[in-house]
Amino acid sequence: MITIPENSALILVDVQDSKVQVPLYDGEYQQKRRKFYHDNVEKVTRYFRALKNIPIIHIIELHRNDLVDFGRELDGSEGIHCLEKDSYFWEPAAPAEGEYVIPKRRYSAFFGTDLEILLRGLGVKHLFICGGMTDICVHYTAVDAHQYNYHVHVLKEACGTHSPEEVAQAALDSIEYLQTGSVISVNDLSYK
Amino acid sequence: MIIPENSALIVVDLQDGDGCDGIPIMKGSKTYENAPKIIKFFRDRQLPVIQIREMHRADMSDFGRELDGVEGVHCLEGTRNVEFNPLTAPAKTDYTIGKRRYSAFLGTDLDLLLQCKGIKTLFLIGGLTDVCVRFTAVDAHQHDYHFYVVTDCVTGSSWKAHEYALKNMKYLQRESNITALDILEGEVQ
Repeated sequence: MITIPENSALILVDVQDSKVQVPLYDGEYQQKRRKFYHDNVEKVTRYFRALKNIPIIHIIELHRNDLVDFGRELDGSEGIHCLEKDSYFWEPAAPAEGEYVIPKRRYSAFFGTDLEILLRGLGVKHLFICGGMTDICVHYTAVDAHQYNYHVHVLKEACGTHSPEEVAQAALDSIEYLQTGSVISVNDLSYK
Repeated sequence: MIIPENSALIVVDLQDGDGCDGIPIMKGSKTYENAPKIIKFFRDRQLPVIQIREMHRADMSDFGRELDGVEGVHCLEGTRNVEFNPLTAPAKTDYTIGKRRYSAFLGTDLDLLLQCKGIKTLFLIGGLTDVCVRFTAVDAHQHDYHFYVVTDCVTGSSWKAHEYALKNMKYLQRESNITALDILEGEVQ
């Protein structure tokens, strides 16, 4: 069981949907993984909302429709993704009133955003992180959080990716290398 | 391979030490066999060599969260562990940058230096593959640089972590995994 320190925030990384079909999630296997991850994101969001005093921050990856801000993001495995005209928050965990929204252009939620300004303003020291993709945006956001001196807590079942299971596990291992005990289970959340 | 003329070699944390610094290292890496040759290749062609080293203040004020994981106290100023390794030590023409975090971009003037030099392509060697090399590559990529990692000139915390980190870098940039031979038989254009 884990107690949520008072100076915590919940960060949902790229829990988003698209008006265009993303073939990466095609097939029964990927759909099943996606549902499992989404169900857990919903559970986590509900849990943190019920605590009432913990800020919830929704990160969404958005790229300009003219593709100007992709940088080197199309040199690897990813195709054109998350265009502003197509992207929106996944409805069951979408931002509620009083929650914060931060769009980003890169993998890390700290890169070129006001996330750190917000966290300092809120006096946050502990970040509870969930979302996708486990091995990219969640991984690099956790790494940057760690490098900026935050304690990180990654809710493993509430993180998703279409990459192979062992790749996701390697990313979680990498976060655990940086902070022992940082990868936690949704089942560790204690219901008082 | 073609090495673009706007390239620089980034040597990550090839530091001296007494063998008891608090960082795990995989056995059998060829890094120190290949690094001197690659560094010479860049120097001979007047391409910038930028040597990065991790250093922490002796009073431990700047460790942040770095001691919350697997790594123990490491790279303290005033110890041999912050010196560059003699096998790959900087020449007068090399640039040197000290860092406090894993990524060579975080809290350093690396991006400024690269911009001033008109560098667009980075070749990465050194350690650790899965920590400082990988997170420097990720930041390079996010800063819009093309990057290559020399797979037989980087050392990981374990072979497994090393392999997955290389794969992760390949996800970001398809052609990023190269070998020392690719460079040594390469041509600058």
